[in-house]
Amino acid sequence: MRASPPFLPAGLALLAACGPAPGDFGSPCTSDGDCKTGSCFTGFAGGYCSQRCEAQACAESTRCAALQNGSFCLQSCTTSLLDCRSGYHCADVSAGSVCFPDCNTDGDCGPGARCVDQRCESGAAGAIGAACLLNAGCQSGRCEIAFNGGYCTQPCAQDGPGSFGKQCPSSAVCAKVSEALGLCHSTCTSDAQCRQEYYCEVAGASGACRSRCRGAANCALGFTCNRQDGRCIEGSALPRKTGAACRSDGDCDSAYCLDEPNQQFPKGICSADCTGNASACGTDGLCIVPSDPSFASVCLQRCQSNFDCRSDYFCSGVVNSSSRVCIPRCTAVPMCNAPEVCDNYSGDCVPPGTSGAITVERVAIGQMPISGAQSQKEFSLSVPPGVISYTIVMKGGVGGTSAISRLVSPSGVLLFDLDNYLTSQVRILPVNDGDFGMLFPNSPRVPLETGTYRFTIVNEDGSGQGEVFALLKRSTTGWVSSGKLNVNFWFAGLSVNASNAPGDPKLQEAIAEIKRIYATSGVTVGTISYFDVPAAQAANFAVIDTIDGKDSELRHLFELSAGAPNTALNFFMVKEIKGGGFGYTILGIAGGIPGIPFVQGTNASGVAVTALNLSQSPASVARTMAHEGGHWLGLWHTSEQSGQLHDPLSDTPECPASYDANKDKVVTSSECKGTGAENLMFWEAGPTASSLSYNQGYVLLRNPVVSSQ
Amino acid sequence: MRNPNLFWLWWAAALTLASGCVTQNSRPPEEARPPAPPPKPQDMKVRVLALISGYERVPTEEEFKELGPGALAVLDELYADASQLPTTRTRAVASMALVDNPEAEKRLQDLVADPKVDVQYRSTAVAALAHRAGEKALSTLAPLLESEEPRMRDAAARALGRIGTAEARKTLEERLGKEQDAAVREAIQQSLTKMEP
Repeated sequence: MRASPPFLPAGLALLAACGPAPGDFGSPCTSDGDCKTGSCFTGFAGGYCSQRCEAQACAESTRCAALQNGSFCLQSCTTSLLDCRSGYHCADVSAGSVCFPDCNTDGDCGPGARCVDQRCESGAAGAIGAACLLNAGCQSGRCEIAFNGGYCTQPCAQDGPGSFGKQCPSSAVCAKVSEALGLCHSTCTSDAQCRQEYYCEVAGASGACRSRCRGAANCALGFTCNRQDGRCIEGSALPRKTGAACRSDGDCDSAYCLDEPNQQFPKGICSADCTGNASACGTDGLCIVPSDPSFASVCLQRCQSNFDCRSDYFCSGVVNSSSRVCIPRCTAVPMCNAPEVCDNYSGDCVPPGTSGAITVERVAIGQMPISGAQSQKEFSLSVPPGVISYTIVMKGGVGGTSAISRLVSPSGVLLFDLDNYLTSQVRILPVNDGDFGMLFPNSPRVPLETGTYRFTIVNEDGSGQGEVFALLKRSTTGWVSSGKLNVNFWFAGLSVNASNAPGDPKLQEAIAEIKRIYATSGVTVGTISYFDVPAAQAANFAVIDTIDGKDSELRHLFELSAGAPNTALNFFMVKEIKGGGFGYTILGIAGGIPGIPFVQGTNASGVAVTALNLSQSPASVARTMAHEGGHWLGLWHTSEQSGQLHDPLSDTPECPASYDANKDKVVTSSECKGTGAENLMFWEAGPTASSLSYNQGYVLLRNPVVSSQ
Repeated sequence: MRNPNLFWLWWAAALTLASGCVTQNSRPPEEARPPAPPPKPQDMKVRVLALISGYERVPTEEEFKELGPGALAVLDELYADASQLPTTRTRAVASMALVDNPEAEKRLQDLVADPKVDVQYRSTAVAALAHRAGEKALSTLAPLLESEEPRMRDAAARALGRIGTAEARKTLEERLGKEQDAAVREAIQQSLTKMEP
């Protein structure tokens, strides 16, 4: 057993002895019966109470590790002294830390690391794709323990507003692993080039060696593990079974495919003819009987929620039945049950009538005390009937990095878990500067439930007291298809100012284009107000030279919105925003994805836009404003630069890496013509990027700043 | 028993058609997408533009290294092309800080030294030169603190802050006492604060 270091005060030595309670995660054990958690992992010294995580997600504050002899949840920690039992310490893995046994030999540290004074240090660290147990075993400093046998990697995609991760080394390729993250993977052209328990997923110039799933909990919410080939597939239908994708009858066990070209089922579904024989559908399907007997009855996949269905489908009730089945969204085919009508934005059938009148209610949730290296607190939010979205806000100028680390729906579905982010279907990213807003739902695939949501907020390196509240957005009809967005324009160091803006032809041309773009999603730009940045600060803010951190000019610029007498979206127009430390021009930047609505004066209360192009090309400035405004309202890039990462919406066009014609690892507007370059939220500021999809409109219309017409 | 194209007719009979439903923006099915075109010879201009065309994304030295020295000629061309948007021209100048070609330093020095160059691009060249040449750029940049153009003084102050040497600090401290422009004073103070050990 490792002795407490001699410099440790007696009080802390006592704390060190605390660790987990008997039977809890990380406590000693010799058999499963010793553990309240259900499983004893004997691969660590003295045993380690744990839980298997192949089939079910890990409990809060634990992290799934796909070890060679099974997948186990390991106890998360922030400091050895307080969290881990004697003989264990807090070791870095993935993007966090877990309680890990003190080492005696290099072998205890896993590949790439060595044991020095009972701690694991970097040894012959592995390259991207190498096996590992701890971050110390990887050249990149990151071992993804949720991948089989550990996997040396590094983030390669946007990991926060304004943060875009690193480029992968030339021997690796960036690949999406969840809605929250992209990681570098070793390249391949066939499975044989990948480690055991990995397969080669070919997309674009080269494939990526990806970890095979061991069970449902290894796949993102809304995906199922196909144990036969270790791949995660969308929805809960296994290949060839009722509801599985198909192109022809030969793709289905039933030899019956309702295909897209003939029967209009997006990407086809395996079904069966159940005419006169409802039992033909088995337990996975439900026989749908047409009112016209000259047509066949067919089996459709039974479902409990949208997560059982593929993204082009949703889980719908059936007339005269308590069961539910996966059916195509009504934007694909006209299929709503009268008197319901199709809400194009969600693809769901909704009650008849017009878009409802909107109200927004502010609901206090609690206070978040923040101090030290890490603060964490759980909150709950009651969502009553009639609410169509909610936005959780924490404000208080607390600084540091904040995140919602866990979000659980009223029905108990774990929508997001920062410790096990690979399985999340909801995209929530940590934010710098502490204060943040989070809009839910941000995709029709993850619909809102009535009841109590539970969520946990964590903050690192901040200080003070965060005020946590929610903005509940209601619609009198329970749905919404139009809204009004009021906007404020702020000017710093430009020839256009609050006085002359209404008559400035270039600015008005830009505003007309913004109006046109948002109108395609049912959002009307309403009242426009113009403000000047106070004269004493205008020259300083004319060029934004610093964009990161609590004392950045960008943050202080956004804080000027405290002077706004309304709750509108703020566009701060400056001469130029500089980034990268070498004079590079950033066209625009949003205070968050989403920003903080309804509260002016925070670090996330608007977007900043470079106005350098205004006189030469008002339309290009308009597209930048609309793009950044889209981020602020809750939209992500439809395709990131690599073509490997896309937004969480199912109807936005994706430009995959396979469209990278010149193999430069960048999908450009010209390469993505017809497959995404036209969308406003495409990563590149192309000349045609201004369209919005229905699902993007769904998100915009749920932001509380978008009010009744 | 299946009736191609008619499936939704009976569904409609059971569930009644809704009017006004539109199909739009449906993602094309995988099988309908054309295969990726065959690789073509890499076009340097296309590749440079791909790096500097994001709304928010800032390119990296690694990315420019992959393009090799030939990228400098494209950056030159983009900067010189008055039909390009001012942001594209500015980005071209800034990217000379990253391009894998030693001649870029001279190019930036020329831009900084040429009073006929628009202050937008000159001030950008100041930041790019400081990034690229570091301490070596001090003798070129320090005199710019005396420029008549406040934006050049501002850029020089920030550049010296990034260079961060004792000499740069001394130069900034000396200028602080003389500087009349509030924004430039603020830039000097920010740089000095950043340079504090």
